[in-house]
Amino acid sequence: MAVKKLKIAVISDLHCHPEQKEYAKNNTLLYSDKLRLPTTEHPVENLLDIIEAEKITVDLVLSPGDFTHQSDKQGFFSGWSYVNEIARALKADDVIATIGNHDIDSRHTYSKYSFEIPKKISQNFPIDKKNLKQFWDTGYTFIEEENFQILVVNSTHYHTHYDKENPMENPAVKGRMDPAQIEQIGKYLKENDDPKKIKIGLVHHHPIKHARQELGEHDFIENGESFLNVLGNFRFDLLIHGHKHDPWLRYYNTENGFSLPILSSGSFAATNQISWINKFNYFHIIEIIKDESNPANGILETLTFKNRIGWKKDREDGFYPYAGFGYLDNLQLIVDKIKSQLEASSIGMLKWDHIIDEIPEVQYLTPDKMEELEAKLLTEKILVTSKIGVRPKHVYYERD
Amino acid sequence: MEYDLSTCIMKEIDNFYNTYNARHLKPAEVAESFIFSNEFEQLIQNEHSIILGARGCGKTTLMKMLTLPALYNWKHTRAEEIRTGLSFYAIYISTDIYWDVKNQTYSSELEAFGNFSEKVSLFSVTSNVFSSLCDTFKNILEIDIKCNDDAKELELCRHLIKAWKLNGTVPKLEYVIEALNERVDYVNQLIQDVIFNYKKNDDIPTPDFFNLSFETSLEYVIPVFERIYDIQKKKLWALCFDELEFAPLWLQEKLFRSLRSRSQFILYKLSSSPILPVALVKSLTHEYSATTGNDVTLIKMWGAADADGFSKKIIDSCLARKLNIKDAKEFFGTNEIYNKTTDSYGEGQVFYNEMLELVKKDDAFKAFLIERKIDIDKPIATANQKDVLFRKIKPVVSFRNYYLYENRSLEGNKFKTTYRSRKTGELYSGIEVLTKICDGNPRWLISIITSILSKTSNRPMSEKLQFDEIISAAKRFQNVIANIPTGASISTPVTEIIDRVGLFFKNQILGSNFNLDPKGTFVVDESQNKISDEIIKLLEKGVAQGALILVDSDNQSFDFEIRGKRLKLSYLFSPLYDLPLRKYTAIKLSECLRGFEMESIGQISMF
Repeated sequence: MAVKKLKIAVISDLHCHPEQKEYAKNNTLLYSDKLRLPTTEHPVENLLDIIEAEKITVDLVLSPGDFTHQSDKQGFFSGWSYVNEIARALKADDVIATIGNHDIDSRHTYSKYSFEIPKKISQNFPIDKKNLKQFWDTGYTFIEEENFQILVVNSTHYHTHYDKENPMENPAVKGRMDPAQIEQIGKYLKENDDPKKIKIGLVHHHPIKHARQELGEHDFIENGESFLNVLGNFRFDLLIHGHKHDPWLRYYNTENGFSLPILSSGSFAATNQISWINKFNYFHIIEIIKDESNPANGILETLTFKNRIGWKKDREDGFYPYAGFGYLDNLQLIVDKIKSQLEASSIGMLKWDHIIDEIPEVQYLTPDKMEELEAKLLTEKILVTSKIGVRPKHVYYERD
Repeated sequence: MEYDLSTCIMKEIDNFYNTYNARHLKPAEVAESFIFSNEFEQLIQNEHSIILGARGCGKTTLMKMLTLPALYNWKHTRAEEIRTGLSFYAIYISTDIYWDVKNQTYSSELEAFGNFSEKVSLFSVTSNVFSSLCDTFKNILEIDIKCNDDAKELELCRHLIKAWKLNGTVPKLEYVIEALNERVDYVNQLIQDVIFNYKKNDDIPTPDFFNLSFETSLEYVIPVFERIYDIQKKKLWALCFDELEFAPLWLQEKLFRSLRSRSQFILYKLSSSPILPVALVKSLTHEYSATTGNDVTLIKMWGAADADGFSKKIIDSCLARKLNIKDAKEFFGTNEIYNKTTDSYGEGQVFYNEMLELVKKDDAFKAFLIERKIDIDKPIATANQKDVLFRKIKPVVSFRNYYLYENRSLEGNKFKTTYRSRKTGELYSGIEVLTKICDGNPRWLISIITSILSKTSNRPMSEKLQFDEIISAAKRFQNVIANIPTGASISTPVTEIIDRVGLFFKNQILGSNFNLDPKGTFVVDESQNKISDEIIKLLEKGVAQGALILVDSDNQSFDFEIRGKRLKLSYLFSPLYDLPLRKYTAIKLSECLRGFEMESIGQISMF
């Protein structure tokens, strides 16, 4: 059995810009002119410490856009170099990114052409130059390697112009994909379908409604559902998007009945969501494990940044430090396995690490499934010492 | 800016009190700098004990030293012997000011809800004792009997969970502690809920765990622990309640009453301020109450015979740790006024020369010598005078000679006295001064010695530098005392009284008369007409903070009332009022405070 593994880091929505005098105009912890100490006030510097201390490495760094804030050039350079700096520390082979609405000059502040700035950030922005032509020309591109196939979509591709008279006609806040474009993507996938490769989609805007916490109902990608259906047809293992600053891992059921895991990344450094929806800043490491052509399993480890505290993984602050995807079977099967492990132990108590070793699929649960599992365990009088998403230390079967 | 000033003061208070405060140290850390003392020797006896003392006197250090992590981290020649010989396991409980729900935490907000605040108070104390017991269990298992048998821990915790009504908790000590904390959090939310969502006479939810009592619970749980780990009758268990002065009165009464009865296996070790609340008189003086020396060891942390010796050990230890220096006397120098060399009264000695100098400018001293038939041109003492007279007048002579410019007698018993302003260091420096100046209070002493050593390590240490650091510590201390909260009804700071007393005593030493027996301590008047109850409250605060110190306190009895007691100013105030470090005789407080408006101490007319 051939198992393919891929480890990626996700850095999204940095919104870098120089510090503004007027406090309310600031929207990031990563000013382009920010000093790096103390580290607990600098998400990059603090993360570099952790990467070094814990010797964290990944294969790829993925970034779904909004490096800068309102198309600020200085912020753009900083944002892109921050991501590359982290990628070097993680010893990543490549950085694969796309652009977000803040990365294009949609209001034509600097020039009449929306893509003037992003096209000139670097020869290799947002992806390696060999794929750039296709990316800028068609609004998407594929990156093919032996182990993986990554579809990079530019959801701002149709923001070519801005009509001051009619600002609603082509609003930059909303992503868009064209039916012809989606058809082309489907066609490519049909011709290049290797079901054993790990398949990942990367896009800035959310392709489906993301309307919790009054986050707005209408800004998802136009034609996003048809796009997802195509990904479902070719059994994509994960879709990653940014934009919402609200981390969320869930499945979308495509029309052929496929459950497509979708990760809304949350923001790495922006600050507006902190007061708006009480979400902080997040950095994910995702390990994807694909066994033959089965849908992949994934394990997410998420660090949460709070200003003056730094990156932490010890509690739930808007997103569990541990999550996963890929297990779609009945949860009762897991409950039964845990129970029999506990029954076999002398005192009815085991370390959770032992459960992970024996029943690895407990790691492949999305946050809502983890909570469901906790509830099911409790009805069987099985107690865990914390939320499963925070990694309990022990699990105990109350036999009486 | 006002803001800056107040933050500055708060920071200062914080530094002065907290830098060397054992409250913030883990027991293992306390042990690193612990200095063995007679008080500790008394505390480790197989008896109930009560430690009384002012802030900073080292109560918390002694109490924390009883715990296993401290004992096992203590490096001392007697450490091993005390560790193994100790007849009890200490359960250390630090008083939380929030236990006093009624007076400290919510006051009037919970008034409308009957005895709800009492229940919360009981719950807070109980939860704290349970957590501390769990800590003690963990320490015993890890450090003492070195047992990590999961099955045993599980059995123990199942008992704890049942006894403490913690259903749904995984039976391991760490999760039992976590569940106790969670419950405290739950009750805090419940209180908010009650305050905002309930009206008077509503039925307040009372969770069943509100009825738990730590005393009965411990009597059940501890034998279970001993049975499971097979350590029956190995040791007793000491409930060590630290800083009880902050505890609600019901708890103080309960604990002091508990000293009477002697359960099979529980000892009480309590610490509190020097003056106990009057409300405890009943619990402590009842005919069946515990009597000191018999069932209870009373440990008073002030005025101990070996206080200077203890201070000397602290200084030695600071010197050894920071600079690896052994001889403190050589390093800090000696102070002529207090050293006890026998020939210091002889011709040509420093003191002899000072007398000659003073005779020339101080007519009162001259008259004093003449009256005692001492040759003013050659003041040599007879053998008898040496010990009684010269020893007595030595500090007064030195201080007058230092500060007086001239004291000339005028007609009709009057004098014209003029002073010189001097700020050299000789009066307040030297090893004798350093050992005395803090009245055996380790926290202040460590603070002073550390700041002296941080300035320079030149040898010998200059008098001026020592003096500067002592003065700076004295001023900080004065600042701290001036900011003690005294409650809304009293607007005068304690320092106002100290100032009156200090200036009165200064006049005794440096005034126009030469006093053989200057007044240097005071007795608090019994009569309320002479000294109001408001001033009594201030004095009690002063005693609790160590600004005022009880003199001649009987080591066998408790002090509830400050009236009739003899007090002295903390020696740390002496440099601020140019006073020698001597107690001297007593005067009535009312006489010191003459000029004070008794009815309204808020409006004081300064003299």
